[in-house]
Amino acid sequence: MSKGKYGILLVTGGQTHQEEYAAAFAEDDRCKLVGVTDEKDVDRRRRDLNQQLARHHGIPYFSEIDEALANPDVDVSSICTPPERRARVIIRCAEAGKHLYLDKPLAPKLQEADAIVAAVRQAGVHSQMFSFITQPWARQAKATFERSKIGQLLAIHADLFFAKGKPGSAQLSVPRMEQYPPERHQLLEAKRELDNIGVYPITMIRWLTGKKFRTVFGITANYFFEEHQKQNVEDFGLLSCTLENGLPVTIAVGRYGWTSHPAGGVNRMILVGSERSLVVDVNRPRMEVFSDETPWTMPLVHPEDPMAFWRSTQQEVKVQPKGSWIPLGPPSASDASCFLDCLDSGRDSELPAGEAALATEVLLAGYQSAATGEVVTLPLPR
Amino acid sequence: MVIHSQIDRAIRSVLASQRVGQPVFVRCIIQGSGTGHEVEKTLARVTGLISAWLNQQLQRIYALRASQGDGASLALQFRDGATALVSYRHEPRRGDDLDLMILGNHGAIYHEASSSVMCDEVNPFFSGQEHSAVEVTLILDAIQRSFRSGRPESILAELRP
Repeated sequence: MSKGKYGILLVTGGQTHQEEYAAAFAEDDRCKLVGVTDEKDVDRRRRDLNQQLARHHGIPYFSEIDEALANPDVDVSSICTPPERRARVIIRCAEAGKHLYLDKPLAPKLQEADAIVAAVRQAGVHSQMFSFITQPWARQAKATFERSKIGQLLAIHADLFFAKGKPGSAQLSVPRMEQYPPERHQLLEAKRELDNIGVYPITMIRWLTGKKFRTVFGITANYFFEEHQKQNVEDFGLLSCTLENGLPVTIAVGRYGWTSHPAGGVNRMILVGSERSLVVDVNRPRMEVFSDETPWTMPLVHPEDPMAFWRSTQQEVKVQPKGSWIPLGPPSASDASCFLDCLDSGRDSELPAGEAALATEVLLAGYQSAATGEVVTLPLPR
Repeated sequence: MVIHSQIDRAIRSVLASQRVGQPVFVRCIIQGSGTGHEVEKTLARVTGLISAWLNQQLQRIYALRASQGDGASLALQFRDGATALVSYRHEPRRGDDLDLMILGNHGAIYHEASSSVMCDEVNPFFSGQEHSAVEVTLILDAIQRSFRSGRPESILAELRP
């Protein structure tokens, strides 16, 4: 393995998932961070945040993305541009011949997702969207599933909730009226959580089964946070779906507050088989620790990040880890390192842009169903 | 030995204490040995119970049958915005049990299958607390209509929460 053989360009910086991805690439000996960049007309706040991440890693900030992409030292673009302008940036990076490490979900619109897939194919570059499928527990689940220990798969039930944010402020007397297509996805204080969190179980189920989603019934709601409600984005979503082989799948996702779970939140999937069921639970096996130390308390609310989306803002308000549950599991390589493994061996990743686009389509079908109250059949019309 | 009626009592007690705030979502996965119509009846009765926990009138049901075997899942919508996912998985060898997650707007209640052992009394879930036979019949009717139509179906009469 040669050190620093992959030059990584960070497209969009602070207060995005780039903070995590940049740290993961920086920790991998195969990488050298080349710089941070973005579109030249980004607003002042975004430019400051981009420069902040560049300073943190001691690398230059290129205010012109084309200038940065022209740099022959760049092999991989790690793209965390906000959803509304993500597609055009991904396409630009693909056309520049750079491999693509992509924030999730891929893009908010179907046409954009299709255009990304076409551009990636045309450019012949490798791509990977961040997901949980590279986690050890996911690998173990797939291995067990593929050894057919559960018999014939009969149903899948998945729950994923992030225990962050201060709950209890949403007005429950104001029912959510979903709109289709969804226009706003990621705001300063809130994200669409069906989109943001739902992408994980959707990609996981597709990866585990190899089957596409066929029908989608969805509901979105505002149960926990006024921040989401004020911005007209949901903090909760559920999907009741079938796969192309008729397999029923139910999914519940959301952000439900710091104190709703002893650890980071429920992250569990039940694969119901004809012989037995496989329960994949990130919080099991675990040790539990109780003592006379001061109980964990909610951190202060960061004014720029009340939902605790980002690493830097959580550090600023000194979020303490919850210590009572200690999950037991093997140490894991980062998702970014798994992408580099793919590049090393010249193979496609397991979640390239084409697969990521399928998840976008399921999510859009969920929003359409939530808006109309009807079951939506995939593929969506082009 | 913990039985379903004890779980019901515990949930009602926690909800009444307001510790988790107003309940807004229930995820319930029932594990049992029922088949055919028994599964539908169990789903209908548990749906009635969930309606009582949420203290909201059931409005719509979207029902999905397992591709094979005796499993089924319901997505439930309640009049004041609460929702639920209720699934039945056929596990003849492991006995009756259930997974529960009840989300309130200030907290959550969890109960995991295998952390309880059920007694085998008849309908232990509903001892003394169940909905009327008429209400269960109305829920069952909506479940069966949704199975047939492949669409969400409304409850055809007012149900008390």
